[in-house]
Amino acid sequence: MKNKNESLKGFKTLWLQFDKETTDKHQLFFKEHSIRNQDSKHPKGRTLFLLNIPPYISHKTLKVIFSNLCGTVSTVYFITSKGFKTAYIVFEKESALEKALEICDEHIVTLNSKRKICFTGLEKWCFKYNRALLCDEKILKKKIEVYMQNYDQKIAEKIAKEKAMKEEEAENDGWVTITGRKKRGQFALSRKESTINKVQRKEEQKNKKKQLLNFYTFQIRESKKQNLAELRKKFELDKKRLQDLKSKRTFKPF
Amino acid sequence: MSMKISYRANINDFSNHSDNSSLENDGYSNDEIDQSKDYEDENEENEENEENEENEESEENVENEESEENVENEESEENVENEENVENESEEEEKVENIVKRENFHLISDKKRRKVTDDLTDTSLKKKRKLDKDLYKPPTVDELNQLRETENLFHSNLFRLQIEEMLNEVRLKDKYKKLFDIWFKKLKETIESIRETEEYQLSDDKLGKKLNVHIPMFDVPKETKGVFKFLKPTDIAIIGSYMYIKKKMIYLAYIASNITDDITESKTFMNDTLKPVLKIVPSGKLGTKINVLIHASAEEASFKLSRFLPEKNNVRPEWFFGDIKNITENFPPTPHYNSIILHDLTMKIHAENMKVIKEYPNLRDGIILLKIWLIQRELKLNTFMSSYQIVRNVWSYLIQTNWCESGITMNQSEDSKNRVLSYHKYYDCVFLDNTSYYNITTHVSKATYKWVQKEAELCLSHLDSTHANSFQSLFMRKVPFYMAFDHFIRFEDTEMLKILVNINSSDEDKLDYGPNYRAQAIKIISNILKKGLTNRVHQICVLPNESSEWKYTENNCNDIGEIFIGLELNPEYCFNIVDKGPEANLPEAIEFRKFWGKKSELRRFQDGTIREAVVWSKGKTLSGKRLICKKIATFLLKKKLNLLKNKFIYIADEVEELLKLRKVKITHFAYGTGEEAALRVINVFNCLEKDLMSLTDIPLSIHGVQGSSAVFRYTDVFPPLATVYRPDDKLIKKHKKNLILSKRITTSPRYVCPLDVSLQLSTSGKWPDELEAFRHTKAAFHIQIAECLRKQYKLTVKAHFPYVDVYKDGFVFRLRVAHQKEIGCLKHQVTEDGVIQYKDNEKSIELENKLFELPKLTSALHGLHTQQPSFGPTCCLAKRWLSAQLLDNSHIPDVVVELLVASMYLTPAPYRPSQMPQVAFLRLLESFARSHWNTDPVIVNFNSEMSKEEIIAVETLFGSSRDSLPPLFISTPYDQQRSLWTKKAPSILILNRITMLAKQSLKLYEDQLFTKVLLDFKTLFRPPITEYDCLIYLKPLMVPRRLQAVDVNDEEPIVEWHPYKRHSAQKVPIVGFDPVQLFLQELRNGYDEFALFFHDTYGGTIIGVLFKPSALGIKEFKVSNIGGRKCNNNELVLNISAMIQDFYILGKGLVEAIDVRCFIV
Repeated sequence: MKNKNESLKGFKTLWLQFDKETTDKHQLFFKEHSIRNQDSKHPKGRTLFLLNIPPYISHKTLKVIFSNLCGTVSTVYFITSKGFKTAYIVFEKESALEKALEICDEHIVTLNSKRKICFTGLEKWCFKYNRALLCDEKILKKKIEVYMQNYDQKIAEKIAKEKAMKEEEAENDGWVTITGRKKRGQFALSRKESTINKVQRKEEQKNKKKQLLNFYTFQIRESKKQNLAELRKKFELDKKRLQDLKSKRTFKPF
Repeated sequence: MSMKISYRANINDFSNHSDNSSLENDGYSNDEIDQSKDYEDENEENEENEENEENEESEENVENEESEENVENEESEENVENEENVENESEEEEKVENIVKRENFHLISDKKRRKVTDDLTDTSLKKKRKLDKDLYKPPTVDELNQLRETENLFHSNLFRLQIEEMLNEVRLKDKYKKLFDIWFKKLKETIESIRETEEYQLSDDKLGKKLNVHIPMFDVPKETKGVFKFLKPTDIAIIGSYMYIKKKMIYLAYIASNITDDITESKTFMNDTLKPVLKIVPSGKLGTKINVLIHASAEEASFKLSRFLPEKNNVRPEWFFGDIKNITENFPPTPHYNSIILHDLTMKIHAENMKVIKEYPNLRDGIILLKIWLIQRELKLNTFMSSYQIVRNVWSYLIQTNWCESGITMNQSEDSKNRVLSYHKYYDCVFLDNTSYYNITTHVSKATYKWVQKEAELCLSHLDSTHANSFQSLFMRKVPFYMAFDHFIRFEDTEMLKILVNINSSDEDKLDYGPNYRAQAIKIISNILKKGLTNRVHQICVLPNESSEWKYTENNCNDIGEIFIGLELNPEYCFNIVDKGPEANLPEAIEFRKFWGKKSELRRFQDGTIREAVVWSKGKTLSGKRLICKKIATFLLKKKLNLLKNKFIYIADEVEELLKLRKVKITHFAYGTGEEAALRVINVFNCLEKDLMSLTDIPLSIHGVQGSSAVFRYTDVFPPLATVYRPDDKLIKKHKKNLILSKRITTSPRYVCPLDVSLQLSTSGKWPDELEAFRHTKAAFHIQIAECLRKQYKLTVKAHFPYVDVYKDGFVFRLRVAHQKEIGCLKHQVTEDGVIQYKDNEKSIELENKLFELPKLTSALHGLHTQQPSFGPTCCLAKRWLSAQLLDNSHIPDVVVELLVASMYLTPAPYRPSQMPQVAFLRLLESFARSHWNTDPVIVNFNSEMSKEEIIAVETLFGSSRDSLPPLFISTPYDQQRSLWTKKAPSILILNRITMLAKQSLKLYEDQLFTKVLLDFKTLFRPPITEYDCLIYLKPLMVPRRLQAVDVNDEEPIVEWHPYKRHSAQKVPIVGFDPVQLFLQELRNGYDEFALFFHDTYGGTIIGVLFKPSALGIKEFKVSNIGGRKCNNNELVLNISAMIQDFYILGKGLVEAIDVRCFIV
């Protein structure tokens, strides 16, 4: 047993069956989530790393499956959105994870047995279509209003905070930082990439203007040379293109 | 079978491609190319061997050759004329492998590569200096000249190089010339050694039997009194009338029988029976390269040339008709007969002219180019003309002059100029030779001449256009007859044509043309058509007959051949439904009435006049109007020439059948091919636009309304129809204010396509900066707009978070507010050092395309359709075809197809834009089959908005970084170097597939056209389904667009839809609900990595599944490999059986059965 676990790189498996009638099953692979830099989203000891989840299984379904199997699931994170999915399952208790790791390799989970937890096909499409319609305009409007109020508040707070910070700064030491007037306030240049590039380009142009191009004879000679080289280059390029054409089509008109 | 194999091969390529993007090139070079490479290599080896052999041979023959040349000079005095100089360029099909040249190219490209890498890395100065030396070394005189010449004399470098390359391919190689000289000597010896014979009666059959040759004779003059005696070439007596021609034939036949088999491969007669030519294919290697044509001709001195002036008669009517009635009358002139004999007599003089040409290589090259150009256009003409400039000059000359009105002559004297005038009475075109007796263009009809002229005009304008790659379309591309015109009529029944000629041809013509039935039939038919169609057609052209060939021992009875007529419609008049005749009280009215018979009726017109007129159609649909010319032609052929419908084939719109809705009817609405339905949608949309612009109660007014659905560009294959949608409680229920779907539906409701519209609001600085907040504000606008539309215009509207649905006059419009800020929010990024960047990403591009780019493109394509009304239906046909081949929007986006069609309309060379969707569709298939996408960018230059510099910039980008660009590169004025629409699809795999399918379809079409009498073009739209691993059969009733399928069961009842009528309780219908599309979306989303899914959007009940070879097979146990697989002995295998089970699960209620064809485990 141990040997097998090693060869599967520590993964355990279980089988997933859609309903009692289906004969073919998908094999799910899982192990405890263990990566050195932990983050609060996937706490150590409570997170299960799950692979090869069939495309038709949703957050909700997955939550129900593992809640039934091991114990309450607090959250499910999908890493991928296309194809066979990969997910982190975070349990509420550590005991649930332990229970999960004890699942027998040949265990079969049936999705729709007593209670239907996974909807597919026509049923799902009709349901989704109707649900989108049933949302009333008035309710929607209200939701939006609430959201926008919160947003406005947030922005107002942010602005107030920034102002307060500045004032605080000024009061703290009794020193006031003086900078160019123009760049203050809403007229200041934002640190955008495009504006930075623009400034750079202007600078370059200024430098260019200062140079004289056809002052020395060597410069004229150079430019002539350059011209010839340009012609040759174009000729070569066309030759190359012709070569490409040749490889695609022979030059036999009939 | 072959399809399957190649497809598999491509799939294999695909696996490479997906593994490693740098292998893209390998994936592209499909099997064909590889094969051809192998083939070339073989050839090279052979060639080298050959050359060795040959050197030995030629050394032996050096002495002989010198004497040979002397003989050649004498030879022209003899009657055997060798047209080597003129004919061989076109007759010989030779393969030239220019080994040396290729090696050169290799060297060059190696150097080039080095340069590029150097430029990129820019590592060591030393290397760079070396490179500089290469580019900056002092120029040699030669090089300077070459470079300058290219600049001045040729269009561009590329053009010159391409011309040189092609000429090399076509030119006869020196070694073959030597071989030929040797062979020719032998031939001459044989001919000279032929014994003189006794005298034979011309009507006698003995000679033919004795020689075992069928003499190509016609039996017009029944009794002939001439005698034939084979004399040594140079003296053969000739008597007038057809006797001469007969003698010539016997003479040739005699030669044919006497040439021994050891020097020839085959001996055949060519041309028609009036101008027979003996064609000899030399034996051995030479035979594949060279054919020799033997002309028999009389000595110049045998007749006085003046005897054959066109006004003279040389065929006595009594010989021909056998009665002596009009013997006292002036004999009618026989210009065509005369010219046949003149042709022979002046041959020697022409041959001398040819020698002049031989001395100027550039002139010769120019002629070769012209010949190629003509042959590619399936035109044959006896024209006698730095190569680029010559070609150019000839073209512009052809355009400027008019041989029909002012003929030209090669003789400078005053006398000949006068003669030109007199010749015009008898011939369509006049082009006199040096003797100023023989009219070279005798057999060129006015129509053919006009055709050549038009082609020349087209080419010249194309040459002058900014498009750089004109070479391909000028010289390399074939212009098949059946794609060059709009309507076609084909006559196959030669017996019927003979009868037609006997009844309808005038006596003069019969006398003049003699047994040339073909010319007479063509003259009769095209004259009638021209008279009836008047200004509806630009030109009526006939496909020149393949110069027929027959074995010298066989009889050639079929000398008419098929007649294939092409009509080029004049878009200004061809769709008129009424032919206005003269006013009723004028004398011309009688003639008009006589010509049209019962069809003609008196009508009062808007300007108050009462005229004779013929009404051809009610003009309800455009598809009907496109057929008016067919109606007229059919009427004329029947009434005037008594040709019933089953005696000829008329080809015009057969493929359009696929755009018709056969099983759906709406009362009082003619659907046709859907153009009228599209127009109706657009009219309603225009009303909606007005409504929206005048809404009063919204904080920001709407100042722009743009549609982006296909129907707004006339390219929706089946545009929506204005109809009523009612709840039926079985499928559709009423729930509060909406129509919703029942819980258990057994049939899919009708598919209602939402029509996308984007709205521009007046500017405001108050939009929130954060994406989510922005979207909420936008949704608030949607709700507000919905409320206003309800209040102000009493429309049926339903607002959703991302959009508003408006049900107006039977159509559902889906409105979205478009604002640049949303895209800005999506692009917004902050780098680590706090600099704000705006970078394109997948989401931002998708949204920008949907809300801004597509509407822009839609209006451009809409504009194109109004200029070229066949554009829309052509796009529909193209989309219908692709879909029928199970390639849908996800494989090649609809917009991409439309852009490809648009490019064909904007740069139509070598054609003119077609009025018929069918022809345009065939041309598109041809361009698919050519698959030039890897070498050329597609430039769709709407209204010439892109400047020359911009186009060059695109081409340079394409040339320099081909590998990193999408496999199909389309540039429009709006996206220039970005190729917005082809970024995701089509892939190389799909492009190759399209190419292959297009080739197959074209072949099917040609087969149908040239062999079958009953035309069934639906076969072009039936996909091969044997090559899929697995087929998913859908329940037909659950497919909402099942009535649009290519093959709908005939027993299916016709569904009657009610025309739209406003109802106070009407609701927004079930919109955009297509279970099949939802299913496909889930399949592709979930199983894209393992398989490809193919389906016909328009009513297909089958989904083809093709597993990717890269996904099959055993994989190592790795986290990245686990998806979709199961563990088997510590390795991973694809869990196919579970996957197929998944297809059932995902399509529950929709899938009927799954057929696993090829089980790969």
